[in-house]
Amino acid sequence: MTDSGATPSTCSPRALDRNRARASRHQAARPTNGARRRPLVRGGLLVARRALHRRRCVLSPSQPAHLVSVLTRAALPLAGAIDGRIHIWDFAPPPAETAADRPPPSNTCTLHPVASLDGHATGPARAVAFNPKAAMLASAGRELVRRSDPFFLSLSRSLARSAYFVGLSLTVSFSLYLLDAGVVAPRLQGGGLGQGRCGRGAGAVACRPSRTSAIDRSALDSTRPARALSSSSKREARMRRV
Amino acid sequence: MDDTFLSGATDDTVRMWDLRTASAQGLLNVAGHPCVAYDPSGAVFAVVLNLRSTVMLYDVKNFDKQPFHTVHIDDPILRDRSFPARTPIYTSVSFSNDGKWLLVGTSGDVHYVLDSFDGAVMARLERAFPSRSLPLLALLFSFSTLAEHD
Repeated sequence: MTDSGATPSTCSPRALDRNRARASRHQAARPTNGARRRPLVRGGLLVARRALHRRRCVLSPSQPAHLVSVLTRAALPLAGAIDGRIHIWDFAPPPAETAADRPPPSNTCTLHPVASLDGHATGPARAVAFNPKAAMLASAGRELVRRSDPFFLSLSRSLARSAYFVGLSLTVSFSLYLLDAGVVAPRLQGGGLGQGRCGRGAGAVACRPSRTSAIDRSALDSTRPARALSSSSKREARMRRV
Repeated sequence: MDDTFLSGATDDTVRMWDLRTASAQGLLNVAGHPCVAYDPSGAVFAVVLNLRSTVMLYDVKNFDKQPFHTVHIDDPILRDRSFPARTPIYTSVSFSNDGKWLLVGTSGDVHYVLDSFDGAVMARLERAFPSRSLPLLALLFSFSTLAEHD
């Protein structure tokens, strides 16, 4: 697997160097046991990393076609680990990038992560979500949300006392649910749900994908980042993103 | 207009909720600590039973009927490593964005990618350095397949 084919050409050389330097530092800091290292900077991952630092839509017309094709072909399972890291596998690499020694699909085909992000320093990464439209990765841990865009940071402050971050439905209009002692409560006001008892120790929530929403759109609009964030929280968000 | 969601709880129930009402609209009794996920079309949902290593696929329209497909996840590598095999606890399930694959996350060292049509295990996902002290904890999984968007 080489990174030359997957490196987006629109990246400024400086940004690419910075990413590579970060990747090499990251690799150097990890213990090695002789296993073959794969380059960290690849199309989708690079975009995901960039999206963590600078919120930016990658599927814009100005992006090169090969980058989009890399992204459209990518299938990257993400997992948050108990040590706070976020592991990323490449389940279905394009045929040109598939390793020759990769076993055929079966229940004995074991894959290893192509990259691991540092993630949360303070505890486990409890939830990971990916927004494919913006190639944006969001993760939640003890302090709930980190390394995401300011919107989630502004929400996370109000959710700081809650136990779990449960469902993040990244459709056109998204809903955010929170699980605390068996109570599911919508954090976006205006939905008219109030609170719902969901049984003892609920463990998972799945939001049905839909393009339309019964939630009042004006209530959603009022929580969008440009209007909701004060200047101080913007500054804080900028500092946390560094 | 459809804003429903599912919850799976350790009281062995899967409940369907509607955002407009405060009580559950549907109740499914399954034995074994379920996790739930919708497929991208919203027509099918998957229920993974923690304690039984089983994936069940349900039709949303027949919420209270039997699952139309049931798969038992069998891992021969874990059987080889120790006897009796340490069956991991399934903590999350997720469809890929194109609906082709199903990702089953566990609190152990391994996660599984299944074909969502026939339920065959396509790959096991492991960490590069299996560590005794730090098992993976995948509570919510996400497949980041970028399908064609309008």
